[in-house]
Amino acid sequence: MNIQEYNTAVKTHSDGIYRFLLRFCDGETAKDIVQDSFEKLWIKRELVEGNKAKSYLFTTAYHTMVDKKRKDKRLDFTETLPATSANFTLGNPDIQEVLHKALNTLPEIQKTLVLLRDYEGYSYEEIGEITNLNPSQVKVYIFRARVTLKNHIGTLENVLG
Amino acid sequence: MDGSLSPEDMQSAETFFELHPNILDEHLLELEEFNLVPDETRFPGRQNLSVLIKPTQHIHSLNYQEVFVSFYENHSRPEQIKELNDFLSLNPVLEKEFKAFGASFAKPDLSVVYPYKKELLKKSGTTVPLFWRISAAASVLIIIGAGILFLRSENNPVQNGVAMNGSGNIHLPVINTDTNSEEIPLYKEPVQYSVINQDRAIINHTETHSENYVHYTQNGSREFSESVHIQRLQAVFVQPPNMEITLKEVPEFDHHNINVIDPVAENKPERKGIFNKIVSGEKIYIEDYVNATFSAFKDDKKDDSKWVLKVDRDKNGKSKKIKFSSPLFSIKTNE
Repeated sequence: MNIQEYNTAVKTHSDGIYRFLLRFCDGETAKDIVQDSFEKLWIKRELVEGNKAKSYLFTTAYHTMVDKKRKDKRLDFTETLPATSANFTLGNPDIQEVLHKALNTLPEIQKTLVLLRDYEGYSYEEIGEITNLNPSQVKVYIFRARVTLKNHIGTLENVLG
Repeated sequence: MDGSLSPEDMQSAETFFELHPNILDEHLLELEEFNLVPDETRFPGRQNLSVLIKPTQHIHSLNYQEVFVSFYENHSRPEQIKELNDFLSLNPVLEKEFKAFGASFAKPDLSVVYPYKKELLKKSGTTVPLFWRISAAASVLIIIGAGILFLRSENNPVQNGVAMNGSGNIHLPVINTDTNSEEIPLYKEPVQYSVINQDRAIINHTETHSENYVHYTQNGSREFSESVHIQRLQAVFVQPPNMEITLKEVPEFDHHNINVIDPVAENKPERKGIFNKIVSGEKIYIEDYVNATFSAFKDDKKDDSKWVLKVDRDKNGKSKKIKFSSPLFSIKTNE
């Protein structure tokens, strides 16, 4: 990877990695992990091809995030999504807002896989490479996540009628 | 009558009724009237309460959700999609659930962007190793203190902050007070410099060997040497900066040999001898180690052009940027 390819990777992927990390940690931590990931890419640039930069960055960012969480001994934040909330009574709810709240109720691995799938469009195989899972496991986790998210959405629609 | 008595109690009851048969005869009919007959009445809308999922060839109640997810994950083949449509036609009650699966896909908020992109970008044509930025002890190049003596011979002793030539004439650096930079002309006459403060640099320029030598010895762990057959510059950087080295077009020279030697990397053969026979005019980049010897071969021609060494210092007097140029090559540190 040359400098031009590296800079292209910065411009193309830094936003996506940042958005992905913000689903798991605060802004400052996300910024640090993004910076750390690109530094590692820079150091390893002779070993990483330009078209592999994205997967390298996401793999690095994901594992750095996981390591940092383990190091900080933070518990996964989970919340019970209420069937109704004040926002929803005002009119049509923002499904994406509901969905992102529902994402926080998922186990971290399911949340990771859904975000990699939905935000970045990775295939099951690519997601498996990033998260050290095989494609079958990815498929099962994503299916379970979709069912959970669907149930949240379904509950909302039933309550609102 | 319900059969709920224990065997012992049943025995006692039977004994009692044998002794008092009139009681059983009087009340038995009454008691039998209270026996309920199971009601055969059926709820007429029962079939509407349960969802009877009608299967198709491959889709049924146990796998339809997987089929829904597979469809939205774009994993369904055309024939599977057709069967899915047939399945939904047979089971319109599942339409809502099907759509709910479709809404379970998160979309990123594209207004959220990483605000520090510029810090990540690298300048085109340059590489800036991280350690250079963070190293407090990075040394760059030669600095001359208040006075510089040019030394003619390579055996001339180092004078503190002064460059002397062989005849004892003193060549003082030209200091640009606006930019706090120093410009040191290096002529063909042998020159030897030393630098006080944190940077210590020695330039040896001998007429016989045509050698310019810049040496940083803060901990002496690395060495950069650049030599030209006629003129040779050797520079040693303790914390080598990232440098861009441009070999200028010198048609009269056959080729340049660049040998990279890193005393620190003795056990890392991959760091040695990477650059060989660089074509004249080609740019090379040395990133994290700077021990290189450049040689330009020309049998009998001397290069008497002026060499210029320029150093920029920060407000604390520490060198932060160097630039060296000669007719054959230039060296500069990058920010």
